[in-house]
Amino acid sequence: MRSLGRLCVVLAVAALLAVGCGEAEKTEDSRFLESEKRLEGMYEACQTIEVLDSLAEHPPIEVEEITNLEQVDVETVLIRSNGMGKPGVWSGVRFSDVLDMYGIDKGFSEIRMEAWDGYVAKISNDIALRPDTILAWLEDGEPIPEEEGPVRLVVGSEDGFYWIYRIVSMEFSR
Amino acid sequence: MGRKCILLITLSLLLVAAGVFLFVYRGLTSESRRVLSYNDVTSLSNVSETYHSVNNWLTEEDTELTGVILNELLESQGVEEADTSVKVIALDEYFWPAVGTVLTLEDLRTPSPEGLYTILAYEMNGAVLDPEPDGTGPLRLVMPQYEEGEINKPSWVSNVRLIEVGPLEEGYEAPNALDVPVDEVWIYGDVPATYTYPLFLPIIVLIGGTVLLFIALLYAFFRGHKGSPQAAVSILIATVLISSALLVALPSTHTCRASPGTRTFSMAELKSMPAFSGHYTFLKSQPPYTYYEADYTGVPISYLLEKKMNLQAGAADVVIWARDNYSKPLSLSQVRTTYPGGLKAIIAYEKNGEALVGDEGPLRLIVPQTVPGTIEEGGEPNTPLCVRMLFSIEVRPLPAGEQAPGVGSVPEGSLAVYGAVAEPAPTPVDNGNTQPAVPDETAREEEQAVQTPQEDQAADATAEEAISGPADDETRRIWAGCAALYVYLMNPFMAVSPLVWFYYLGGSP
Repeated sequence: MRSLGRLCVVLAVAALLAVGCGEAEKTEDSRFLESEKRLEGMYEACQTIEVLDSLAEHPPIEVEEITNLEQVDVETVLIRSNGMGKPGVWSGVRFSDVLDMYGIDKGFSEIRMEAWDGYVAKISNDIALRPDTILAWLEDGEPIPEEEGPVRLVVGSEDGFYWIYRIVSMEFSR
Repeated sequence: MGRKCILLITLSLLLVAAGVFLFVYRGLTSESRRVLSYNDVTSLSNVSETYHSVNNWLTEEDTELTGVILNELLESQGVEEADTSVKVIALDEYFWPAVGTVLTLEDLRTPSPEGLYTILAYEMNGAVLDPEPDGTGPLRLVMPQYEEGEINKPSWVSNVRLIEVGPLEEGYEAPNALDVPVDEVWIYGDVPATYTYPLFLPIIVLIGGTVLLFIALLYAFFRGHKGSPQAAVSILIATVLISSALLVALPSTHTCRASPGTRTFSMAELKSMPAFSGHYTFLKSQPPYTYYEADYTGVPISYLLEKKMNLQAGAADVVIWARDNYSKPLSLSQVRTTYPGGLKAIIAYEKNGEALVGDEGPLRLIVPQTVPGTIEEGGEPNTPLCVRMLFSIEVRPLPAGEQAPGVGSVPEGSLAVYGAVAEPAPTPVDNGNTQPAVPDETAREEEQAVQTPQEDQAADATAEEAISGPADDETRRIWAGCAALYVYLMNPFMAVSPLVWFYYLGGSP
């Protein structure tokens, strides 16, 4: 009987150990869950890209329209500002084809592209007209993440800071 | 004691044994990882300062930020060594410091000329930082400018989830940022280990149990059941399991990578890559400090190393080798930087529209002046870096066992690239409806540059070795649990050695 008493003590200790192994429940700050809501309207707003050109007036670029152009793939490595590389295949339409479609003269010196969140990228004429500069809507065959907008600029032979997304306007400098 | 009683005790002790297993297994779960909640971070003493930033577009901005000083945060978690490396990782795996550079605790302890420190910010311009997808918080790394005009915005890592403290042991399995809840930051790596339970208890169980076990086994073998198969099997099993338990405590030692070998680019391949043309200025470093200008065309060295190939994680710098054995080191920063006038460091093959000839070519590295101009204008000499008769680029450190290619092995006009750099893995194209990825001419040239069988084998070897890496933490914990369990069961003081079972039950295997 004494040994059974000892056994009970041992078992009780074991049970306590097992119970103690449980992790405390995590609480999630509900404030952080609101963040996604603040993107509401962005995706729709970026379906239309305003065109500002001192040479002539142009209608806005409609994403739905440009998807009818010939689709090309750009297989490259996205180099981010810290030097990290992300290989992939981005699919979309050549930017120069978009300019042709909307009758935008290619004699500009620079394009100032602005994003929905205020980020600005300046694309020189040389870069904009390269065959591997595209407006892409697919990444490795999948739609680009919705929070990055319906299309993003992909410059296959340049670093990532040119690869602006959530584009809302393009201003052509002559 | 009757058999029923023995069986009852056996069952009970097995239950306790399960508890021991759980104890060791789960007790080791939180090893070398600190989990800090958002509230843990914000409850530390904070600073509020104005940080000046410059981004890649040279856009300047002043931002009022509130946060905790990063080195103080790490020190509060027991990270003390000055040469400890620190890497801050975002939800999307963006990280800082940049590839090929190291940020140490000592760097973090050093204030900028304005007296600012690197912080983990949680408020910007008086407002709490929102998390992604539209925000940059709830925690954001912010580094001050250590030099006037320094482009420091890329170091402002948004959506910080992980802080890696290095160096990491080989085979260390780093956590995935996606696993970290939005209101937490995990510090992992070379931080003092923490355990759900004090580690000394399992250690005492293992060491004490091991000693007692062997005494009991030796006693049983020589006195009690001399030559019995049970004793022999017990000793064998115990030896295997205890050896395994000892291995748990030892770092894994056998991660090695197959050498990526040397990749040689022909002149045609180099010319098929996007060309960069620019008007370059040159200043010699010795009297009479000759200054001259010329137009050069070539391939940006950053494109070659980071687009056509991939720098490996540990890549530190590059060495440019000429056919006459002249060499010059170049930092990764010099490789990547866009120099004044929008110029880039290039591997040139044309000068003023003509192929490079004589002792200048066929290839020459052109590194622009960081400060353009003559010596009187304060220009910075750059000709020592502009290596003529270029034939190879070594990315250091050179992997163990990899040999630098000799001049004779690289045809005139070709360029060998080797060291801590590899060709990117091929990315599958989605379907057959798509068009060639790059300009038509380039695509044709690249299709001709078919990978050789040797290169295929090297790629396969790399993949295979990556798979057969050291056992992961899960396996190690299971082994630790099994070993502790076995020692527990074999402990003679608890009278549960299999030898004793056989003796009491009177059975034989």
